[in-house]
Amino acid sequence: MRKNVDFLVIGSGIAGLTFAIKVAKHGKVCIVTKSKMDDTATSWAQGGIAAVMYTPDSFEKHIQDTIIAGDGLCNEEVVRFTINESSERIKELIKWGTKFDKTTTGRYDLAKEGGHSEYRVLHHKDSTGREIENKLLEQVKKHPNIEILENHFTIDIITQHHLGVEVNSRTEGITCFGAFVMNPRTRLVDTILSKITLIATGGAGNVYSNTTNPLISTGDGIAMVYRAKGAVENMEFIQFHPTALYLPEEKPAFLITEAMRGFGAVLKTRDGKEFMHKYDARLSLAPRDIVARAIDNELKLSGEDYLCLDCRHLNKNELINHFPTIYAKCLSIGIDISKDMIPVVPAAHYTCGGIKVDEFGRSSIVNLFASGECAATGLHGAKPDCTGQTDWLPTHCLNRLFFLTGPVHRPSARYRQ
Amino acid sequence: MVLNEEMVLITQSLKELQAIMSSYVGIVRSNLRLQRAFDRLELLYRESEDLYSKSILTPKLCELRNLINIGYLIIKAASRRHESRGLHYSLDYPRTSPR
Repeated sequence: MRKNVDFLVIGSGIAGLTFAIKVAKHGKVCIVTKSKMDDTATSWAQGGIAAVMYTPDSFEKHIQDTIIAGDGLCNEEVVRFTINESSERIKELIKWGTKFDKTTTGRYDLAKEGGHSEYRVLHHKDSTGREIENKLLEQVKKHPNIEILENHFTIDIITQHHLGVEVNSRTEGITCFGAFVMNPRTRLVDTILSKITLIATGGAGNVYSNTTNPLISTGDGIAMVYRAKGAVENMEFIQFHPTALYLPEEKPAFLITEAMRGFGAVLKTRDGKEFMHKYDARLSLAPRDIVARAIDNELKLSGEDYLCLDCRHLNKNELINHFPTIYAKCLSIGIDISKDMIPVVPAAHYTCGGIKVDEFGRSSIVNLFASGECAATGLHGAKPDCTGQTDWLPTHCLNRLFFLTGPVHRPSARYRQ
Repeated sequence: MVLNEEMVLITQSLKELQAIMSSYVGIVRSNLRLQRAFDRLELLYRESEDLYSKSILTPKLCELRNLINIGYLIIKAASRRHESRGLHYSLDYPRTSPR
């Protein structure tokens, strides 16, 4: 089967949906997703989304925090306009129906998290991602110009390579004409031709055994662009969360919050020996990078699959009060955290690199855009701002920018109908 | 010829890939670990491309192929960076180069 659309969007997370909603008034949009439409990493995101809302916070402070976290690899221009746009984009999410928690005075209840110098994280209970995803899906479903194809796996993007032209990484003017998609009903490969294609397929955490990403995060879009000889960069920067519950059969991994160490929990080897004194005077309270490296080193030295977090010396009632979800989760697998040590392991959390895009979201391939975790925008540099509340901003802002500038690429070849 | 009647051809390769990446290309990297990972990945790559060309396509097979590409991209990018910076830490190049 062959289908013609104006915009093809691959992926149905926040990146794909916001783009679809914005371009829908200009043409026919088709969103393809390999799973159910709400089965995305966006839905899993519990934290929040960072935005500069009130004084004393300022755009300049947020910009500085982000650049410091990026360890010298941030593109300052991208950081600057992304953050300057942040409150506008948040207002847009609110206009589409997203409800963020407010305090009794009616102001937004902002949280402060690692790497941020001010209170600026908006949230909806502990299910911010699901709230945003649901509200965006409502908008998408009621839009007459948008079609969603669920359970359609995109195999590859179409370029002149598929017309018999030899393409290598030095070829200029590689152009995207759409994508080949697996139709679950007919079990045949459909061709979807599009004027503009957006890849919004998310991260690639599942390349590691332990990951906090859902099972669908398999780096499909990045791999497709790489195979089509498009530019991919900064792939070595993978963020790991140092302590996820060790339970190999469970995916995604359950996070043991770093707040537990702040509360007094101590990292130990399987046989109960402390080891953090070898690495940092702050012991288990050392910064995340140092703890992650120390855990990695201990695992490498011993060849074991996991380490332990010991809370047995802490007051049981307080422990349950502060960490009810963790207590219940561990109990469900036979671990009473007041009596047993918690087995923990680092888990892949966020892919900083990906499809190389410019400040307008354009990839090196003509008519192909990328947004969200699969794109390397230059916002994060070598390290995102610790917990990732800024992750969602580029997605949302770059979509807007694409929109302001419009597609300036001119196709150099035409896909024959 | 249809090869992927047996899902194990895909699931086993996926487990191997994840084990290689977790053991050798995790938080701390070194030249030796990256080389070992690269050598092992090559075998998985050849097998999966062979399976891809000979069998009926399934999403699982496509995902495996994509993940093997991703593994390659991470190893390549890590091998080319002769410094430690941000989330990339190498035992052979523990310093951050001046920019």
